[in-house]
Amino acid sequence: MLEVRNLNAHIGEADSVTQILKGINLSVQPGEVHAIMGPNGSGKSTLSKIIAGHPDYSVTQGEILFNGENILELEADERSRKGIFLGFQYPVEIPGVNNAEFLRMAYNQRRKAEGLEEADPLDFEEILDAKMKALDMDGRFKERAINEGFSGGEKKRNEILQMAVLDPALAILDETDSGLDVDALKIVAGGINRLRGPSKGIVLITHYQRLLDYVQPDFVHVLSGGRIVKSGGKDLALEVEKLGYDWLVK
Amino acid sequence: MTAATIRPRFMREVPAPALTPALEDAIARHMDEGPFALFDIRTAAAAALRRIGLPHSGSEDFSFIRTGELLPHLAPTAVAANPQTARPGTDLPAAPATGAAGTSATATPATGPQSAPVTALSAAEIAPWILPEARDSYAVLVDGVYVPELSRPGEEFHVQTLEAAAPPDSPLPGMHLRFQGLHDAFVTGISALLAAETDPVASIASLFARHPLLVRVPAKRVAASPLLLLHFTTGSGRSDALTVVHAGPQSESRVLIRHVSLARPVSLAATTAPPTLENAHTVALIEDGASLRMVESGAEGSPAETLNFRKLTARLDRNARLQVVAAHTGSRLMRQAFAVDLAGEGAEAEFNGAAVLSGNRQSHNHVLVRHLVPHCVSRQLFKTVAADQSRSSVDGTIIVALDAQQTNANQLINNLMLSDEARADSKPRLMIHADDVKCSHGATSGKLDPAQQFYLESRGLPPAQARGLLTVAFIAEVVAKAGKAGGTPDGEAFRDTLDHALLDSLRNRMPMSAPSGAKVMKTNETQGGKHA
Repeated sequence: MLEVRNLNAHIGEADSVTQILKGINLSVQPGEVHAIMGPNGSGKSTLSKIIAGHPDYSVTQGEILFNGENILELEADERSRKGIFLGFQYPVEIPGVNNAEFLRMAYNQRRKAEGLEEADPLDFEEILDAKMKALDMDGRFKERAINEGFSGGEKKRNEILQMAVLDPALAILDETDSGLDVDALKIVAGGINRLRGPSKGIVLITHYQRLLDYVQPDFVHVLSGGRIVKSGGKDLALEVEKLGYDWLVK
Repeated sequence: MTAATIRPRFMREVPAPALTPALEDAIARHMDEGPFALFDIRTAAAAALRRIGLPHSGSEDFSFIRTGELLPHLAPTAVAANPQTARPGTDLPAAPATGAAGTSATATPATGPQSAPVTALSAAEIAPWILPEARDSYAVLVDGVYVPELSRPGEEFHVQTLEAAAPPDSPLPGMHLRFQGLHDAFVTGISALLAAETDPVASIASLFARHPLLVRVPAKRVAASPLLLLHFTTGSGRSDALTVVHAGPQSESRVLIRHVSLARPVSLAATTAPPTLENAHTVALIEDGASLRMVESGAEGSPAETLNFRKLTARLDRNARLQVVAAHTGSRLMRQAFAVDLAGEGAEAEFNGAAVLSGNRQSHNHVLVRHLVPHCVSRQLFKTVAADQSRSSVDGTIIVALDAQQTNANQLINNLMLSDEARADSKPRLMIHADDVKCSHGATSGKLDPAQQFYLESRGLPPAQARGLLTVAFIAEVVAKAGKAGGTPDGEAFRDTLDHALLDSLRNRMPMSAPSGAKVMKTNETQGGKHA
C-alpha cells in the first residue's frame, strides 16, 4: 500500500539547503507493522512528515506511492482524506479550538471524501465516547482545546484517539512512545493494536525498543544518515537495544 | 499628585489650532438653544474642547488616524449640517416639563419643542435589532436622540434624558443649575469628567448631543436582564450622542450597546454622499462596590460608509468593577477610546477588544488607564485580525500615580496579520510613579502558526477551513467574554451576533492568502518595587 522509492529530500532554500533523506526505499503491505529505528538526526521524523505532506521539505528525487498513486503532488489534507495518518512526535497546542469539535470536523471530512454521510454532533459523540473509553480517556478531553495544557502523555493519547476516530489505512506514528510512563504506554499500545488488521499498514518510528514489547513489528529498519542501513525482523530491534546504533552506523 | 496633573508627559507639545470662528459660532448658538438644564454640562465640554483644540496631524493621541478625513466632519460646515444648529437659535425656550413630549406613534425627539424632529423610524424597522435577552429593556436613540416612543426601558434601569432629570422651573440662562433629584456631587462629577476630557472628538459629542441620555441603576439593584442601547444612524450626516451611565453603590448591571446604520440611499447618487459621522460619548460613573459590564458592537446595518467615533470615560469608586467587551469589523474609520480613572481602592477595570478587519476597513483603539489610588487592578486585551489592506492601531497608556501602590496592571495587544498589505500599529505604554506595583505590557504581531495549520490539515481539514478555524480561535478568547453562547435563555443572542459578524467578515474573504514568514514577538515586562 505504501511504496517509498529512492526518496531524496532536503529542507531549506538556496544557500542553506540541508540534505536529509538520501535514497530511502520502503515497502509497506496491508496488514504489516514496520518499525523504523535510528539515532537522533537520522531522518526518521523527516520521513514521516514527508509522507504526510509537510510543506517545509522539498523532494528532489524519488516517489511515494500510496495504493499505486503518486501522492507527492497531493496536499497534506488530501493525503489525510485518502487514509494516511501521522501521529506527531510533538503535537501542537491549539488554544481556542475545541478538541471534540475539531475531531468531528476531521471525521466528517474523511466521511465526505469516502462519499459517506456526515455524522451529526449526537451521533459523533457516541462514536467518540466509545473510542475514548477504550483509551481510558477522561470525558473532559472533549471540553478542552486541542492539546492545550495537556501533559506529554495526554497529548500522545490524544493522537491515538484521533487515529482511532479517523481509522486510517496507513498510520505513521512518530515517537508516540516517548514521554510515556508504563501504564500510558500500555494504553497507547492497546490503541495501536486495535487498529492493526489485515487491511491496515502501520509504521512505528521509535528511538527505543520499549514500545515494540507491546506492539510486535513484522519488520524493523534502522535509519541512519538519511538511508536505511539495515532491515530485518523484530529481532533486529533487540539487537539495537543491546548493542546501540554504533555497529550499524560505522 | 492630583489626578489633573497625571498625564503622559512625553507627548509632543504641538500647539493645537484654535477653534475656528465658525465652530465657536456653532457652539454659542447651540448653548443658546438650550435646554438650559444642560448648560453646566455643555460649558464643561466646550471648555475642554477649547483647551485641547481640534485633532491635527501632530496630535499624539491621533497619530494613527488620518485626521484630514475626520476634520471636515468636526468643523463648522459639518456642525452646521446638524439639524439643530442649522436652525436660528433666537427663542429661549423653557426647560421641558417632562421627559416625554411626543405622544403619537411617530418618532419624535424626547423633549423640547426647540429640537428639530429626528428622522422617523418605525417600530418594525427597529424590531430586528432588539435582542431576545433585552426584549423588555431597551432604549432607542436615533441620530443620537433618545426616542421614548420606540423604547421600552423596563423597570430595572431608570432611563430618561439628562435635562428631564433637571428642575422644571429652570432659572435664567447662565445661572448655575442643579439637577433636582440628583445628588449635587453627581452632576459635579459628570461636569468634572467632561471638563477634564482629553479627547476633542468626545468633547464634540457631549457638547453637541441634543438630548443626552441618563441611565441609572439604583443602589443595590441587581439587574436580572441587561439594558440594550440601540444607536441608529439614518445617514443624516452626523450623530452626536452623550450617554451617562450611573451605577449606584453595590448595584450589578449589564449594558449592551449596538450601533446600527439604517442609512437609506435616496438615489443611486447617494452612494457618493459624504459619510456620516457617528460620534458617541459614554460617561460611566461607577460607585462603591458597583459592577457594570458593557458589551458593544461595531458598525452594524447597511454598508453605508460611516466614521465611527466612540469614547468611554469612566470613573470607578471603591471596589467598583467595570468590564468592557467590544467586538467589531471596523468601518471606513473607526476609533474606540477608553479612559478610565481608578479612583477608589480595590477598583477593577477590564477592557477587551476583538476586531476582524478586511478590505480597507480601519479600527483604532486608544486607552488611557489611570491608577490614582492603591490596590486597583486593570487589564487590557486587544486582539485584531487584519486582512487585505486593513489598518488597525492600539495606543494604550497605563499611568500609575505616586500613591497607587500595589497596583496590578497589564495590557496585551495581539495582532494576527493575514496579509502583507495590512498594517497594525501597537503602542503599549507604561508610566509608573509608584514603586510597589506589578505592571506588564506586551504586543505581538504575527501570522498564522504554520505548525498549527499543518496539524489541522494533516487531519484532513482543507487549508481554508484550517486557517478559518485558527483565526476564529485567535479571537475566541475575547468573544467568550461577551457572554455565554447559544441564544437565550441560557446563552446570549448578542454574543452570537458578535461572533457571526466577525465570522462573516472572515468568510467573505476566504480563502485567505497562504501564511509565510516567522512570528514576530515583542514583549516587555516591567515590574517595580519590593513586592513585584
